Amino acid sequence: MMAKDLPPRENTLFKRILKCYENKQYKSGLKHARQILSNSKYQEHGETLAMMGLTLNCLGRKEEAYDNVKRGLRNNLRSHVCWHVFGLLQRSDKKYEEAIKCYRNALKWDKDNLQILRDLSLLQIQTRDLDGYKMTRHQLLMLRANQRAGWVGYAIALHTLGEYENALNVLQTFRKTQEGKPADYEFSELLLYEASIMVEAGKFKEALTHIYSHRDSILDIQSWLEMAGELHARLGEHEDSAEVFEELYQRNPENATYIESYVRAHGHYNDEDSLQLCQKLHKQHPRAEAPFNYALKLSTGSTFRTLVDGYLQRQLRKGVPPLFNILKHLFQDKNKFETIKELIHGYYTSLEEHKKFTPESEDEEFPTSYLHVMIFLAQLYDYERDTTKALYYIDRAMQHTPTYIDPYMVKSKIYKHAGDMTEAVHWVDEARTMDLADRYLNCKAAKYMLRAGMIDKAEEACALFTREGQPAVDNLNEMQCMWFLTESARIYFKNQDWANVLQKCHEVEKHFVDIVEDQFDFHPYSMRKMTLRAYIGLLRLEDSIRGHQFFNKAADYAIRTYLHLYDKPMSDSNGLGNGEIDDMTEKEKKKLESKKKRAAKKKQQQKNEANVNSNAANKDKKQPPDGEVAPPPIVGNELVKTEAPLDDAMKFLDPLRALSPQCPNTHKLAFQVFHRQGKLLLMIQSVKRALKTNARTPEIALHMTQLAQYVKTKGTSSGIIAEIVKTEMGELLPQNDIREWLNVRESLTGTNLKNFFMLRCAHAHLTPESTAQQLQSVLDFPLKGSTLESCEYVLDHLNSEMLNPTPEDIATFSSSCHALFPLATAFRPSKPEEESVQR
Amino acid sequence: MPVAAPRIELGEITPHNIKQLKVLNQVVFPVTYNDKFYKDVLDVGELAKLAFFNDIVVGAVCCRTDLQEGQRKLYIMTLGCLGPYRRCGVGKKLLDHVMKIAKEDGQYDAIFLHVQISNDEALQFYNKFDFKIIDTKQDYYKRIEPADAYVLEKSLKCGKVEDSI
Repeated sequence: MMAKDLPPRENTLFKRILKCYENKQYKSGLKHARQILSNSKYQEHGETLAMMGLTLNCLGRKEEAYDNVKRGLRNNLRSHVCWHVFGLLQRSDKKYEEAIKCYRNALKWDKDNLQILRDLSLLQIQTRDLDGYKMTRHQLLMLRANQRAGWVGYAIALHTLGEYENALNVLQTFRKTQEGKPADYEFSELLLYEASIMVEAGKFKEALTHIYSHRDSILDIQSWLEMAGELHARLGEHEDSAEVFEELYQRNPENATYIESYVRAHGHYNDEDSLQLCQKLHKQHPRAEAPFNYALKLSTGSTFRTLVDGYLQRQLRKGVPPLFNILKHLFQDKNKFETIKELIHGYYTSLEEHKKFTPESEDEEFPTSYLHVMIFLAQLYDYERDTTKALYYIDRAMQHTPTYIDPYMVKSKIYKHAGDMTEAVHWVDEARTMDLADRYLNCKAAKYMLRAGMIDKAEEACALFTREGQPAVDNLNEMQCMWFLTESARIYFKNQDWANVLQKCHEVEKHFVDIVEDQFDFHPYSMRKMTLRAYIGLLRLEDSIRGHQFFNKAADYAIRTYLHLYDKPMSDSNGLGNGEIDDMTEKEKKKLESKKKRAAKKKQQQKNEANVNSNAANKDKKQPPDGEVAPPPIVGNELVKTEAPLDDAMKFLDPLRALSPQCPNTHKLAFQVFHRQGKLLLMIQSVKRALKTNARTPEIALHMTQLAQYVKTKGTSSGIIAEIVKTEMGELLPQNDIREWLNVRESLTGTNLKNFFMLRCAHAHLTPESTAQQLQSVLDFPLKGSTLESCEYVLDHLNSEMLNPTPEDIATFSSSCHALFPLATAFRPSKPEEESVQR
Repeated sequence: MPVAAPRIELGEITPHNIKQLKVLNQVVFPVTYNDKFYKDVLDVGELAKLAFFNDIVVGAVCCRTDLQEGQRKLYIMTLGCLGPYRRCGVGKKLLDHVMKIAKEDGQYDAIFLHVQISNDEALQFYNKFDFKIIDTKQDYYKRIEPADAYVLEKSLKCGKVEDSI
């Protein structure tokens, strides 16, 4: 940057401002700027004003910053410096679109300014303006053809646009200029990047030739081997592939994919042959776990029995805590499950009598082997949901060694699976308090507490590991601790505390915004460090980051909340809709009010204390860097007042539809939103996709019925849309007979409780007069064989009045469930929750 | 015979894991110890230890220095091991530790402790380490039967400590 219109003295000062800005000496920068401006001739000097504004921005004085920068720009609209600075200011406030416009204006006055072009390119890739990015990158390359960054940047732009040929050409042209230079790691990365583009373009042969011809220059040997093995396999060169994967296996015998690829490279063998290959590998590294686990997966019958017998004894003797989870994947095979169960029972009896795994064994075992066998037995029975037996064995284990923490965790899990979260919390908290320094126990306990609705207790537990002088919840949010947020949302949803649900869900959403923001720094960094394969991986990850389950969970609660707010708009700001308040008895209302007051009071107290502490702590805390001003907090009470809940829901629904189309839940939620919005085509699409992802999703019965009804009563009769609807509905409901369709569905899925229930709801929807009859068949449904989850689901949805049940009906259903799941709190006749919380 | 020697290690008692000591003592001893006992245990350093058997807490020892009649003695308040883990060397490991402390300190006249008169297992154990019954306290225990206790002591003055380690 140069200020052409200043005399030498001022010009020197101006250069100093720039220097100070680069070196983050903002205070002195400000001083120099004031010196120039104090000269009456230059007090309106545009570029100085702009730089002063930029410096102020870095000191966190946002408002003054904007004033100065804008004033500077007004005084010199033809200065690229002023425009560039305005762009930088906007960028620091994440207004990327505006910033791009400013950069473009700046380039009008200085079209080849490298710094501005670079800044522009960063914003373009960040906002995924890929075409713009390509153009800017091309211009940069033309200006600096002798720099590596120019070539590589242009190649990346082409690659992201899928122009593989061009990208490869650029890289190859660049590589020619590098001949004769010693190969370093960055050059090696460049070669591998080139290969990765070839693979992506489907040019396997070429990629293979490429990596072989540059074998000596590629220093990342593991990547080279992985690529070579994969490419040989793709080209059908199985022997070569096997050889490479064997080498990889020797480098790391614990990598399961190497073993699988090695076995697969031997062609389509049966499990028997594969098993032999696997065992051959295992012999080379007898202590490796991965080949052995793979052998367990492949083997069957007596071979499996022999293998797993030895394995179990070794691991139980050693006391490997996650043994059960390691083996869990085998249980899908009922025979393997039974074999393991039989073996463990054998150990149990034998250890009890002879202190040996089998009466014939030579060695006497430690008491710990017996202990681990009992725990494993409890886990096996818990897996089968045989709560009584599971508890029997875990209690024996706890009697045997009451100081061992793991059985407490297992016991807690058994209760969780039985539906008694209160008891589960009791045992997990026992475990936690036995080792307060264990973060895993702490998190697990906090999670269970949240599940049981004990929000305060969970916060208290978490506070042991969060920063002091700050409320635990705030710190967890700051640390992007998403499970805590989604679990909180879950319990708030259950309590119908809509404001807090939205607060938590939007906090999660905000974290995803931040994660996407955070990639900004990687654009220049990755280019400089030449970690291009990882960089491309990062770009793609960021593009699909909202497909993560944390987002899915938050979206689920948020959308369902918005649906509720649409159906039952808020009457006041207390966080409850009309419906709930009306349904409550006077006593309940009073109880709720006083409970709320107490909670609020306690919160305030804690906050005050925390503030006192944090004020003290803040004193030595540094100012946030780069003038970042804390974003406005998300306030659930504001969010819940929304006028357009369905529009707000789209913020969560759009990413789900784009990034999680494989989840049945996505289409379930989508239908509910579109149905309320009256968007017929999208309703059809949602039902179609739901059927495609999982045709057995229970809600499809109801949604299909609602769709058919909608078409019948509100569908358009003419025009192109009507045509499409007709065609699509013809496919979905060939006979145009929803009753018949429901009957067919019932014959396919009707034995499943949730499906049966939803079918009844669909019929009730279709023929409201039959509601009582539908309800009765739900109450008559034989529950035996149903899961706890589906019973809870039906109870939940019965409560939401779909079938108009009376309290007695609900009690009837609940008591049937209670008979099946005696421990589950959801079905307990009285309300023991409150009492047991006090324990 | 077991497959290989078990791993028996001693570890520190901290505010974080003290509950394990409480659970252990509750199971091993008929006597309940008060909060002060557990508070003091945190401050005595090497005089209180947990014993880990294959990484699981199965035993513990808690001592204090006892000054009376001009003598400085090391008093073992508790030394215990869970039932299933007895005769595996846990007690020896704990007692060895106590005797090592006494030896390194060099200023102790003796190590002593109380044992309920009916506790043959304990008497046998301490006998192996040269502890002698030197006294019987009538009605030593308040809430358990028999209420009498032997006083077991191992004198450290004649240099016998070294032999036994």
